[in-house]
Amino acid sequence: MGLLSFLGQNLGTIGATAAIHAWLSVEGTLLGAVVAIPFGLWSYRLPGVRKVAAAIAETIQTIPSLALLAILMIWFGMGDTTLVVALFLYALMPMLHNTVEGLLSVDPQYVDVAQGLGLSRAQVMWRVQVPLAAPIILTGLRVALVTSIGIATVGVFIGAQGLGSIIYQGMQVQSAPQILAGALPAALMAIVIDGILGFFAGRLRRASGRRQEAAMASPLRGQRKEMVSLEERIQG
Amino acid sequence: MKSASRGRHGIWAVAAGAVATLVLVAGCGAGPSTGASSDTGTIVIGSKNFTENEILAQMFADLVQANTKMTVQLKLDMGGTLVAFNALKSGQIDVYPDYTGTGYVEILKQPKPKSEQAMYDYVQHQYQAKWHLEWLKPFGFNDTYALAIPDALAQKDGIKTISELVHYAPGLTAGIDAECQNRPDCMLGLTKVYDLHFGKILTMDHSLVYEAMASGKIQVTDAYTTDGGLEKYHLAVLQDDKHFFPAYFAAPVIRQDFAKAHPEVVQILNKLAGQISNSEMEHLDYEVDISKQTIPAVAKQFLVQHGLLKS
Amino acid sequence: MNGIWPDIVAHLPLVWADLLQHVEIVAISVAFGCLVAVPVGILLTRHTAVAEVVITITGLIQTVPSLALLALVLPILGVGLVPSITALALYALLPILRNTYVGVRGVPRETVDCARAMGMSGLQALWRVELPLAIPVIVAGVRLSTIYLISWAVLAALIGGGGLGVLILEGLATYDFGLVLAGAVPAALLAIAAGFGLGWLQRALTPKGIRSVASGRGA
Repeated sequence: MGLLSFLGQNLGTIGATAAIHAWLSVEGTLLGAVVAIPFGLWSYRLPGVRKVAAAIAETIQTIPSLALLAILMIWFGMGDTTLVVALFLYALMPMLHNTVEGLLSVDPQYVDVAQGLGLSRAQVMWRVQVPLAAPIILTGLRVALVTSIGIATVGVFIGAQGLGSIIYQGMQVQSAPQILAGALPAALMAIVIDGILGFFAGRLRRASGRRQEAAMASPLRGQRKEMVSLEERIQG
Repeated sequence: MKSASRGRHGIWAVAAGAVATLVLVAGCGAGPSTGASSDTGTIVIGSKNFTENEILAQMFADLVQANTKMTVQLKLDMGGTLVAFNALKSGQIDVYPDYTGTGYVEILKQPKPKSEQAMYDYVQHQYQAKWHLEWLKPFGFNDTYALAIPDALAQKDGIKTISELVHYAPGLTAGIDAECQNRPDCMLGLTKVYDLHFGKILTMDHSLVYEAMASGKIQVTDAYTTDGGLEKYHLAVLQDDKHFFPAYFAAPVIRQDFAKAHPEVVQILNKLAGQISNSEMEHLDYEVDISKQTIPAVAKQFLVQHGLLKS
Repeated sequence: MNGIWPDIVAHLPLVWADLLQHVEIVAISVAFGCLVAVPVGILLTRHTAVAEVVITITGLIQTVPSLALLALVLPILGVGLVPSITALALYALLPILRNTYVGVRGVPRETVDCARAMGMSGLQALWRVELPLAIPVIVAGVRLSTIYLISWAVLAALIGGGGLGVLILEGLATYDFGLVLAGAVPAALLAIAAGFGLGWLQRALTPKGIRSVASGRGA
């Protein structure tokens, strides 16, 4: 049975599973954002804290996904909860890294001017720094979300729902159409989300003017930034 | 200055709106369905991660769907035995198909298998006492573990029993699934009881072993006696001369609280009692694994043929 | 959880064997990846029109979940070590290819022109100027590849590829936490060690000239 006929016959199940997959990915990523962004806002000017947090988050990032899921399973049991916890942990690094990078990339002149105008610390943060850092923070979200979608497929082995179960079953009956029926929605979701959030990041960047471009203009800095976003675009 | 900041707020609003919509849409359509299975009107049926178990679970689903107004949630392919069992214990699922031997040796960790009936009675008693779980009536077939080798190899070296295999084992590559390797009623026990040591063990999902046998990558595997691949690939099942493997009679295992709340489900599932013989189960497995028919189709066909379901 | 430590200790010989096999699979796959991806990446910098297409396609392939790629290899290559390495090597290509391309392209035009003006041929400029300057980015790609491969090699246990995934899957199927940890912890440590090791290598290979600039904010 070809891919199209498989899709045709199972559209309901595939659609429902894809929706659950998306929901779990979003849930885990947003939880990571909710923790990492405030932490980044607080710690970006504290190099000691910043470096330790970055080291921890990066270390977590390198842990193989099935290994982390299996370890978390010991405490959280089989099921969706474990997957969401893992996705939360994996989202920390991109979110924290980009929040800090974003804030640090804001030209100090703007902060000075704002403070000179009599704005409080908090006001400066919310009305100047965060909006200017927003494109980079949004890019972090995008990277984290795309990564989550990929990692969530491994969730099948710890009893979580999602497209992984379609892929795994497809492997067991050795049906390429079924494998693809699970893989392509995941790939598509990743591409679409990447596109949408990329678009919004671009809009924000243009809205906040050339300042970001200037900051990133030096070839090596630009290279490193590309490195980082390329890195995280690739998901496991 | 003023218009610039207004423009910036506008974009923020759009961005926030988009993200919120994304979250809402994703959440609305689905929402995680974690096992609140004691709601009246819903039954959550689980299965392990191999064909036969999924077929049985599908049959449960079809029967309950056709004979009650309950909402049926089917969680096929959950994982190994312990995964399904723990899901049942914790209430994430209400019922799944298991095997008496598995309950006896793997879950209850009893060393010496008794007779078939005694084993059934024992697991029934223990499951009810310890975990408030109940075994319903067996389907009739006994799907036991076995070691299988290619017919050609069996004939060439005259290997008919596992004891005879032991001598050749160090020169053979075995394809064993992850669960068997850590089960007392599979590799863990086989190694001890038979002193069986293969030259090499390739771990792979059970569904892949028959193709691996066919392509010569492995020469031995932990077969399930009702597997379709045994027939298709001309494999010889070795005799368990030391009577190591217990009997594995399959039956639904259900939560007692659910059974009490839904006696009609118990009645429905017991309609399968004694309905599936060994050869019939093997045929069903063959249809899915070899003939590549879908599990829902095969399950339905069986039920219709046996008058348990109207077509 | 009491039985876990004795379990892990009892399983140590297995852990070691699986760890070695895991390292073997990853090392071979990454090596193949480099062997193919670096030359191709360099080639692409000379044909930028094709490059954008190739990079976009490889980017798209990378959005396909790794489990699916491993599964799709099965009908073609069957189970075992070779199919696993093949699938992994294909996946390893992509980060290294992109980073080689980006790295070499990222070398400022003026620098290359300078080298050519000094009398270097195209090949000499490549070897003595462009590559050394691109090395940090290329090694970053290799590092990334390696970390991802260590993760995907865990899944290879499903299709006869062996490695630490075997222990994890056994543990998951039988709810044996000791076994799960015996596989998962070494896998995690391996990945962390590789990350640090290759990160160090990346910094060590960064030509001194740009090292001070590159280390600006602790990438």
